[in-house]
Amino acid sequence: MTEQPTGPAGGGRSDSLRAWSATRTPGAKPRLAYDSPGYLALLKLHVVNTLLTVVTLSVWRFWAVTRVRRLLWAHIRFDDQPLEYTGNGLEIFVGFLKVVLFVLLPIGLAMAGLQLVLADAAPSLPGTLSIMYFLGLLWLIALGKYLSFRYRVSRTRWRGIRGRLSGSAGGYFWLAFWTFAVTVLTVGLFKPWMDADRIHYALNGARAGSLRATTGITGGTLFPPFLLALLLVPIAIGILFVGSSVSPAVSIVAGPLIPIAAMAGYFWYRAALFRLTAERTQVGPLLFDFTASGWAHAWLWIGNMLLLFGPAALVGIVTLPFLFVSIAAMAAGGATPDAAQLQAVLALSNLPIYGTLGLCYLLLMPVVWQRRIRFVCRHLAVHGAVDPAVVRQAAEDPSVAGEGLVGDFDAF
Amino acid sequence: MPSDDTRTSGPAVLFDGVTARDHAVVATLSAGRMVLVPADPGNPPDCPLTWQLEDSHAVDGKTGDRLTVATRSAPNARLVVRDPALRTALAPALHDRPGRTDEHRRAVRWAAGLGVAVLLIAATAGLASGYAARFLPAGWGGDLSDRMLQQLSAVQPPCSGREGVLALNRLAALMADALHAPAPKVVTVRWDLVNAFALPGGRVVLTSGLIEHAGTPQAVAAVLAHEIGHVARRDPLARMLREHLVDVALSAVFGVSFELGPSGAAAGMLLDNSYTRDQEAGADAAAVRILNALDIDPGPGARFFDRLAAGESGLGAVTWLRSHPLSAGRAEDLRRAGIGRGPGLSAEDWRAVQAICL
Repeated sequence: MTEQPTGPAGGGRSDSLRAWSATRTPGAKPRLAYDSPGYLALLKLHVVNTLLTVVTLSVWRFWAVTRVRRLLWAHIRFDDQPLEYTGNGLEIFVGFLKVVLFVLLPIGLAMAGLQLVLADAAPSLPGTLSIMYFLGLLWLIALGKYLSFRYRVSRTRWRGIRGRLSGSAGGYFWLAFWTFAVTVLTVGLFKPWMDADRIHYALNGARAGSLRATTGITGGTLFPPFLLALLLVPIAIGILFVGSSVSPAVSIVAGPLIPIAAMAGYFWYRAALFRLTAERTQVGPLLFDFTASGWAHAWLWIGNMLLLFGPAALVGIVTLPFLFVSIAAMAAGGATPDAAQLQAVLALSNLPIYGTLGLCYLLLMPVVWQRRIRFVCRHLAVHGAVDPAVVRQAAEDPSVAGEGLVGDFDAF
Repeated sequence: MPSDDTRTSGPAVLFDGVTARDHAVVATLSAGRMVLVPADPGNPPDCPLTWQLEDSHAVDGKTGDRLTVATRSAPNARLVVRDPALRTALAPALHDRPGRTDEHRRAVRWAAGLGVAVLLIAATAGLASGYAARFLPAGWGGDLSDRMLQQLSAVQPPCSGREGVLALNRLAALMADALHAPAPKVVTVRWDLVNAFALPGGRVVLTSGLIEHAGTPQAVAAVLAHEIGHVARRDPLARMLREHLVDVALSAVFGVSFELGPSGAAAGMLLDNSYTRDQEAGADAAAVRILNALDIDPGPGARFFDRLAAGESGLGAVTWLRSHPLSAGRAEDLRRAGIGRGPGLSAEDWRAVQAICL
């Protein structure tokens, strides 16, 4: 694997420390722009979709995601021309059914059989099996994300020209498998190479019409920021250790330091991953920058989590004292609380939490979509000019038949 | 020509779907068609320029400041209309969605076929799991059942009267022997519920409520014989396989698993042992064979079934009958086919069984 950046913008711009600082070019008019169709329009669509999804026992979700994408795509413009989403729900549904029948069903049956055999042959093995199951799930999710991205790109048009990712589902299947296996075996150290290989597989050779994408992303370029991110946790532990030897109070105050360091490391690396990928990728004559800092990535994610789960968590905290009081009242007088009664109280106390959660999903999901789109539009800078007359239509990708697998049924 | 009166023209931008270039055109509507005339004849678009309106549709809805049109004869081409007059005239003539193409029809066939396949799997799961269960060794799933029992014991502890446990297991071994099946393991749990059930791997569970309300050794023997009938036929294993298969097939379509994990599965087994009609009939026939082979009087057992069927007060809402439905004539069949005379358990053993949970 060559460490030489093949991208045109490789030299001198790979200072990984810049992951924390914005590098936006001042004064440039954003070429990728999002003009919102309005919160109410999105909310109306989302509420109708949610209701239909519920009454169809979730089958509607394939059509729901299609409708939302169609609306959102039409409001994303590149060089003043909107994108168009041409996917349809039926296509995704068929892809999903195929995966179920030919992948998930056989795997499910094999797992069930294996579980039965192992339960009798070696009682300690089911634990190992569930770890394997979990790892397998991660692998399938990686594959699902690729397939979903591939589907979305192939169903996106700009000026009537469609996109196309490179590679095949089968190729990515094995790539995702072996890179994941090596990452597990090296306790995570291989992760930059895993990420780089996967990005390279999807992007290098991808097309926007006849414009070919090339990417020079390598594990070597990702490793320094990864190592720095990885070191944040031991550093935090060291500070905690030294601090608590000075005064025990320090360990209480600085306790949250470790998870904060882990999260900071994660977003630091994520920022570097996006930035380096953009810098080292070229589509025809177009060059890219991704200007989001680690803070910006963290704020996008934390903000979305707060929007979707924050209110429910708050309700949970507020109602907790009531729960304690009612349980204490039940146990008053030394009586053992009745199990059924206890269960009823717990269920009742969970009701406002679930209610808030549902309401947040219903009301705030459109906000989350828009935050994600705005994040990309704000931070993805495109340089260079392309003459539309020389961009020709890409051949249709016959192997893309739907998102398949777990997909990610996120609109954006 | 009358259509000349309704002729509308206006500027528009055409993307021909061959290159990304935009072509300025003048679009003219007349007689159910739209004719596009390029403004720059030296550089014409590379797609058909006469679009039938009945084959055309609005791509992103008809609202907003632009109307984007696609047509069947040039599926990759897009016409973008911003001119308000042309938009107003064009919008009502367009479909909201593309017409049904061959591709669409193919997708519908696939969806229908795959949907039917998944449902078929769910429907034939009973048959398939029955066959699969018969090919598996007798002890299969025993450890899984033991784990379930362990979970159950947290709520309903097993009864440990030693003599009673031995007596029931001796009887069960004899019964299984009558069917040439390996001896099962009988567990009695402290539970007011009148119930009995078999788990995969030859585990039979009786509740203290059942022993109490059965009142006679023959009635307990009749229930036990029926459960051992299920065990010999591997019905519990078949049911577990079937539930798993149905769950996988349905969760496939709906994306949600209906299975509640091991503890949920255990609860399901206890409260809703839905065997099929064939399985129930088979277990009933096996029970008669057992009772006859061991010379056990069917009368008290049949009377116990009648009492359960009549919903006698004090027996509770969830009874053995509820979990073993579909056999209203069970008591009658037992009376008719049973030829035994004996009690099934010695007086001493019966006392031990009655005292099993004390």
